[in-house]
Amino acid sequence: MLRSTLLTIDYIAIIYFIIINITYIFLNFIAFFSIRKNQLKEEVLDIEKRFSSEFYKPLSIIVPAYNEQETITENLNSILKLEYPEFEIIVVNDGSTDNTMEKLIEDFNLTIFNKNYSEDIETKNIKNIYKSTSHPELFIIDKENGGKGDALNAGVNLSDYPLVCNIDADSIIDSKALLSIVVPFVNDWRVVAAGGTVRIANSSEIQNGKVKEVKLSNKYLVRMQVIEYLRAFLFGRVGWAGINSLLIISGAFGVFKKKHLIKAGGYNTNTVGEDMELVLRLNRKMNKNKRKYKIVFLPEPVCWTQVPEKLSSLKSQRKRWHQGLGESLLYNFEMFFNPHYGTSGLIAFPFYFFIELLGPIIEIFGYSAIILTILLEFDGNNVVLLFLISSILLGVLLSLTSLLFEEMTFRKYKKTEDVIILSFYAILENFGYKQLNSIWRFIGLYKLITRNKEWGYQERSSFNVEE
Amino acid sequence: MTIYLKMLIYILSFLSLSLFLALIIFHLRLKYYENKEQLYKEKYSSIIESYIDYEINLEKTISYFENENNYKILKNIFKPYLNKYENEKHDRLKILIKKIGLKNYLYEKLNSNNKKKTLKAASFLGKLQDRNALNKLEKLLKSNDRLKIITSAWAISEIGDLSYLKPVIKTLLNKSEMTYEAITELLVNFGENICDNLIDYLNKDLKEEDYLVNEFETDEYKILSVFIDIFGFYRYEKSLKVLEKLLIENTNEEVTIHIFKALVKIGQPVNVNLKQFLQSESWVIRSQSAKYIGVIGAEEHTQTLSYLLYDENWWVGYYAAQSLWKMDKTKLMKNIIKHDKPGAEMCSYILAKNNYIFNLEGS
Repeated sequence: MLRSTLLTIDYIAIIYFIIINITYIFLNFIAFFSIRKNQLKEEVLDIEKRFSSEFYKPLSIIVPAYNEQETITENLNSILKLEYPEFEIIVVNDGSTDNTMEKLIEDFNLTIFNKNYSEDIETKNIKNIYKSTSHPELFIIDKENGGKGDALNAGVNLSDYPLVCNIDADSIIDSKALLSIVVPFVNDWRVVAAGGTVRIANSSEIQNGKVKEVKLSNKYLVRMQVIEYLRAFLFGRVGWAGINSLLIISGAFGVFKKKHLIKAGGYNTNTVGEDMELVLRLNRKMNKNKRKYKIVFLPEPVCWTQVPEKLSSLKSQRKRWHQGLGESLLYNFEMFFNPHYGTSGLIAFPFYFFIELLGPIIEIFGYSAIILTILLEFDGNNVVLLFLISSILLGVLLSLTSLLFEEMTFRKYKKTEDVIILSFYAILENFGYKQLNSIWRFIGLYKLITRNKEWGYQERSSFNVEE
Repeated sequence: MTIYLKMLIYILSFLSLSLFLALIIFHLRLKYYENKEQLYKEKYSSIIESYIDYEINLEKTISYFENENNYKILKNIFKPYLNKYENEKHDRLKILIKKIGLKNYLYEKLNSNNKKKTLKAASFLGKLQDRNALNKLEKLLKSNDRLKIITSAWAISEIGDLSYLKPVIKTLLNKSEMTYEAITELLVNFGENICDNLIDYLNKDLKEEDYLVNEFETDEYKILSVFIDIFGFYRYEKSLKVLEKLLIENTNEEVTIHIFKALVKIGQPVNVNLKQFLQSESWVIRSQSAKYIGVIGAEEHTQTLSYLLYDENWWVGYYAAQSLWKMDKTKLMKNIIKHDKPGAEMCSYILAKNNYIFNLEGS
């Protein structure tokens, strides 16, 4: 009985690993061609030359902030230095319990301002709206706590411009990233949303609000996340976008056409995955209205972020992400295997549901069953072991591919030793780190089922700043 | 089964190792190439700059490039200079690029069967404003590949030969999915002379029914919108007569919006009754016409603007208040605020936005 149960689980896990790896290989191919096409486009259309053009659409940058007293000033200074012809910055203090608001008032000379607040999207109570006397393009909303989605909605309500860009308060945007991310909105009227790449800034050198030198952190956990981010952004998102099935734009850096964002109802305040939920809902609304649309991902515009350096913070983040993923998918379940949504409904959504969301169940039971089968020396244990090894090798191969993509395109890690170290971590992550992730995601799934909403806390440290 | 799996493991191990080696080789190769490009930059940048500034003559400059055939790197070195300089200095660069053989290299690539090489060469020849490339660029323009269309259209517009204006506009409107802003941005590369050609097209259209539609094979409102945006970009006052006519005769909302956006840029009055637009059903037309009133200072519309202050659309109220402010109607605005009349909130907002400090009792 035990033997047959274990073997059944083994084979389910094996099928799961085969599906996941085949999909990733497929995404890899798509991503390879998309990246090359994108690079060619950047070169022949000479985007840099055009950045002073009056044809750029003005942009409202919304920065939700909750207890960001450590990083808010340096990050806002970085945003204020972005190269873009016309933009406003709206920081939304979402009822911080630390000194975020006091720091903003002091560092940016804020005065109360009577800017009209449109209430297109319902939000928690607004306490005050401020304007900076030292930076006329900077506005601050001080509101009651309502979560990130609610803060973003408040920012949208106050924004004046046709494009809105959400940026996390703990992130740094490359100076020309906004120019690059807005280009698709000008070059193609069908584009309603665009996302950029998020990269890891831990240990990198920051000067005057810009990443001066990209350095690879010497911390084990950060290096693992570097590999993960490269994989997620350079072939995951590029690949899905390549088949017009992008279901997520990172909350850390994305641009939306304001009118469509409002028509879709703004950010969902009942989920911890408001970024993905919005993109899914946009897909649904645009499809229902039978409007031609495109949601694009650009690997070049880069946003730098600090990732957790402690296991406890990472655990909390991953649980939250997984819960958010589940909530987003459930809110938009109408898309599941729905041919009206094309490849998004028929391929991307089911993949996210079965593989990304339910994956941890199979991974945990699968890993356990495989280990037990091998330890108890049941018949077929050889086959199971060989499958496990193949699956790990495929994972290594995929991670190495994303490193190669990085080399072919952006080459942020200039040192040869960094490339060798990262290659080593592409192997190492398969032994412990991936399994830990499965456990955290499993807990996230459990919390989703039990509807346990707990925000968790990520310890913020300031960037490695040189003035 | 076991044998197959073992084979799979060998293959995957081999692939992983190969990929790792490829990664390192690729990394080192790029590093080498970057260093080489840097050396080239150090070697040639000062020579090119001295040549542009007439410090050394053409013959001497060419002698520095003798036996140099790494055109791939030279292309990258010349590109920023072509983007930076215009007129005489640009012409000097063109001569140098031809003499050192880079232009022949570009033609070789332009005519190759490799899309990437062709498009890179097309883009560069556009910057060189080389008319000999036009035939090939026109062929690229006729393709169904979106990137080929946009790249060739950019290059043709940079070369600036107006005889290609019609095929470029026609292709962009029908095949590119570009926004009006992007099409206008591309077309203004042709230079301000483009406006006279557009006026000709519009005059012919006024004489002959559906002339524009037949010529450009797309909806009239799309063609007009692009034309009007270009007039706006160049602040082309000679277009005022046509814009006036269009305001009276054209009924398409989108075209009317483009007209007002252009008029705001041109900043000159038109001989048309604007009240009908301030009362339009479209909030965009109401807001844009309200903005225009402020630009030209048409005080006869002050009362209508004060009604628009409390329009159901926020932007209409915003531009009405901005226009009142521009026309120096602060007294009226303060009065609205003082008596808490409809529109008081918008008036307060605009006064504060313009840093106008006052108290309700005095001034």
